[in-house]
Amino acid sequence: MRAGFAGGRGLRDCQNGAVRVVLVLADEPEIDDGGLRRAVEAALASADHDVDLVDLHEGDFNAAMSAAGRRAYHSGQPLVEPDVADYGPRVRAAEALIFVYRASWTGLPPRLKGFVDRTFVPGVGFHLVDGKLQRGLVGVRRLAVIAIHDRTRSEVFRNRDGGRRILLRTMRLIVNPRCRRRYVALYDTRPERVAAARRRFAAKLDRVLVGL
Amino acid sequence: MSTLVVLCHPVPESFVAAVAAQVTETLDDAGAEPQVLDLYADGFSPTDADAATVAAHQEALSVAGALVLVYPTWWSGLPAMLTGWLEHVVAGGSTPRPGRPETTAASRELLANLRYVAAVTSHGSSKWVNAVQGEAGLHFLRRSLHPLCPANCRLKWLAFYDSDRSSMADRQGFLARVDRRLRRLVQLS
Repeated sequence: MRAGFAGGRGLRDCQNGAVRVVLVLADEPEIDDGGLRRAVEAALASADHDVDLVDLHEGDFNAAMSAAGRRAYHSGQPLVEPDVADYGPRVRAAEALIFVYRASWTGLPPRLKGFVDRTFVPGVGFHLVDGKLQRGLVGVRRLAVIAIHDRTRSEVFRNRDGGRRILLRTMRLIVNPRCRRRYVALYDTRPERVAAARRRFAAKLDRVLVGL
Repeated sequence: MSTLVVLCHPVPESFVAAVAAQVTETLDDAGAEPQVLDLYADGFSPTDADAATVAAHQEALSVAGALVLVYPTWWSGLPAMLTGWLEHVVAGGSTPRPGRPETTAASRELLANLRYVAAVTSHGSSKWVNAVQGEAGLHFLRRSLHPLCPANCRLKWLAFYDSDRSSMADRQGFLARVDRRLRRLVQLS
């Protein structure tokens, strides 16, 4: 039990600080021989979090919203396609959403943007009442984004970090208003630059994921 | 010189498709020779684009004198399809980094003839909500794509906000605005 859960900000219905997590992996599995995803999974396992893994590189996930998916978008019966059909109930059951990706330019890679476009639709992620946005994922009280950037921190900042804006700022409008948000990023992956930065990144990764 | 119009919407009867039709008609009328790339109709894959398609699109982009992107803004950013197109076609599969010319040379060469880039896009939510969300799509175009274009290349942002609550008159007004603005853009450049 960690001190962070005292003081009323914690999850009332979970024991020992363990959280039901949906972990969305959109990194490139061959990079670093999957070291990043192993570190993420190990940190979550060590804290006994209940992890539901969504690996966007597995199966036949199609990143582009299809015509059928778009036609069903406002119909009240979204998620008509088989590759996203079960994502709806899974994200609705989550208390924490964790996204892991390697940045394309400075923003989200197509796979992860496709997951967001196709899964967080009206009736699942939010509700549209007379055209106004209402929160759909009030059970989600933790958001964590783990990003690998090829660019330096200042380049990413100057480019306004689209991934962070979409996954933390935009997502904030549909999750619990008191949701805790964390951003863990490794910048500038040139081999000569990463040793110390990677240690700091790994330490922060552990700290954030264990103490969700 | 021709104008490359990239349309990215899965549904042919959508408002965005109507906007693309207006864009094509206006450019045609203004003598800007529109060439339409309909990413969905062409079956482009944002994650596994095949080399022949990418090469054909790069060829079309390198001879174009202007680029018009017509797409819906989803989740405050570009749709996955267009993100994938930019990654494969414009960036050639890698990340261009400002300050490191070897990473941007190929993209700069592709975009070297552009006199303007225009984004024509619809947003479901209001301008206020989009401001809170951070306008990731606008910032991508302004800060990541536009700096790779020639120094005298213009960037035009033509956005339709609050489409979820829009009336027919609003939508027709936007089509008229697109027509006016694009004509002026063609004249200026």
